[in-house]
Amino acid sequence: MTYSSAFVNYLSKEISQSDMLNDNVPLTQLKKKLLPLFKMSTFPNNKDEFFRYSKIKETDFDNLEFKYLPIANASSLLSLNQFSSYFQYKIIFIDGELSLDQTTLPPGILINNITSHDEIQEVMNSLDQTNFFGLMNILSSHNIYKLTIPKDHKSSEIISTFHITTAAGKQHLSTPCIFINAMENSYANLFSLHLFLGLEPYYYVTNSALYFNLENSAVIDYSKLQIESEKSLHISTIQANLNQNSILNTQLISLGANNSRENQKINLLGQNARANLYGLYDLKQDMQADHYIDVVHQYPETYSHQIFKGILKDQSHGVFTGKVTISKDAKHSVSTQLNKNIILGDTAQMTSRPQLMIDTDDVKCTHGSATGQMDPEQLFYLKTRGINDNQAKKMLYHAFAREIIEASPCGKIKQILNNFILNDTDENMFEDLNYSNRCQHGTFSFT
Amino acid sequence: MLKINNLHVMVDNKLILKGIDLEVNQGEIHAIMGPNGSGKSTLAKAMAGHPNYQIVEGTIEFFDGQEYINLAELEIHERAKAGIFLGFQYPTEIPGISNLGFLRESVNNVWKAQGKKLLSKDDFIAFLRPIMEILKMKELFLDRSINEGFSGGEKKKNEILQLMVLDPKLAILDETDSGLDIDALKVVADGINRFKRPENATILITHYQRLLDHIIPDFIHVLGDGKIIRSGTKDLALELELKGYNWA
Repeated sequence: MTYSSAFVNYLSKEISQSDMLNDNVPLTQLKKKLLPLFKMSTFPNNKDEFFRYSKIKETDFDNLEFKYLPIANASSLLSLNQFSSYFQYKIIFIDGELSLDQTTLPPGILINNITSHDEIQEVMNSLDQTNFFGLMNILSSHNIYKLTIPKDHKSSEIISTFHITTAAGKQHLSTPCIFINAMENSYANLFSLHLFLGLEPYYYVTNSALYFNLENSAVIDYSKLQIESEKSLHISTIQANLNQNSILNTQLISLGANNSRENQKINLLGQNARANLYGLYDLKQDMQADHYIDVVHQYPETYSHQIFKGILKDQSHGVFTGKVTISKDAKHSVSTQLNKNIILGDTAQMTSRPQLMIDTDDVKCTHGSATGQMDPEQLFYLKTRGINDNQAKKMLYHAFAREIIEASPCGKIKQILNNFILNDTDENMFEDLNYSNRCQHGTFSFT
Repeated sequence: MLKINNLHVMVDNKLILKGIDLEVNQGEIHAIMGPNGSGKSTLAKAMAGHPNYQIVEGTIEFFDGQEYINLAELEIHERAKAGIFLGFQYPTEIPGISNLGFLRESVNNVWKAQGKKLLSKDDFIAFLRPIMEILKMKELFLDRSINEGFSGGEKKKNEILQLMVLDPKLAILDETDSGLDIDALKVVADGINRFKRPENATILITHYQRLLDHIIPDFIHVLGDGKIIRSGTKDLALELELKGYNWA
């Protein structure tokens, strides 16, 4: 069966129009190469092992607009300014389009639109052609951006990327696509916020993609906070290639979207490459968050560490698939994986699937999964000290989430996550969590 | 201060307490002793309001300073606010919540209910410091998660720290001496003795005489098969030590 929906027809038309208009010729050529491949692929469905529990369906992409001028309302722009003023360096996408005049970056860091044949070839080489939504992202992107962290660049300043959805009532598709190249011995602290600032929640689709390439000894801290509209569909691809001595720390916090899918593909390609992957999803009503984590150890002495936690209420459904492949050359590698969930109530569901594929000896791999209710003895203990049921549950919820919040080395990011996760302005509560705004890195010292 | 009348308590559909009568007045220390399974911890948990411990008959009445109130009508946290404190036999570990955040949250709730002035974070730490010195606890202790990775002695000291900070009207201390070495036992006993004042009362639940070498109870009650089978003064503990619970 091929994928030949109205959406594909729309894509074909768009691409041929771009061709006629002579828009970004290399990108259009790339799309022309990819389109037949995309048409031949099958829309992911429940027969596909890695989409078995997903509720994404073909019709979710019907009647979407994906070429229009963003119409930001005054109130959302004000909110955006409030958020963005918190950060010195920011890249701002409004309704999927880069807003260059609002983008500011530290000296030496560049973001550019990929337009050359060579760079497009690099994009082509990086693509995982089996990733349906990755292909869809490229095909429906008007621009592909490249962020370069120069060699030896080391600054703890946060570079934030805002993906703001504002367009009132438009059922649109946002497809931000960014390639991040962290050059040798560089460090960057990246924060990405997917935020809905429209007036009323409505249906739209975000299909974002982020491709990391970490050269030797590069280190990236990446935190993502997703607070999309409660009616939206959010699909994300994060793909990373890690070379010798490089470290990628990711922290994915999913608080919004009716339906979200996080695809994370990590390739450990050089000795001592290390990926620390953390995630937290907080679901309510009929939300679904589907995390598909695929880590491939391709080189000896590579390390991966995963902790994903979920809090599920009402009729929500969490899915965690943690696939770890240790190839036959990857001796002495270490992989750990943990998925823990708290279910509040009787109707929420969690599907947790650890999958280890180990093709060599002499490796250390652990995995664990635990799903249960909030510990009644912990609740009782707190209540016997005068703390009411609601406060006690909040405290336990925060305690559960804290391990993931603490994964960021940066006080400012921890504070933001803390505020959004708790959604609590009671200053007396958790006052001990007043993080310093200074970033504290174990690996480097910044002066 | 406390009147327990014909108390019957069920746990998992099994009747554990089968008619307890006990009266505790201000300024008194009562020790409750008895063999394993006699119902000592059940009595403590029932007074604190543990949801698995169901009162099926009888009443627990507590004088809140103005009138006697039926404890069964109060939520767990309301009992704490009314001035009841349960020191746990096995204090629960709660990773991810610091002792300081927890203590402050607890104290703010209880003090607010009691109309006391709340302290800023710095003043609160200053308030804690001398109490922690008495208990030979280092300040770093405040930054650790509640009871996580604590030794048996540290957990019990943490309970006594909470007791001294919250300063309740009635302290129910469940096996506070278990898991303590001799030095820690002295420290914990010193904390309990300092807590004792004419306006409050303590119920000490213990297996052994050794705690009573440091804390002199006014009354001792022996529990057997869910009932108080013998009551007396401090000499009763010595007799029990010599003759065993079967004698009682």
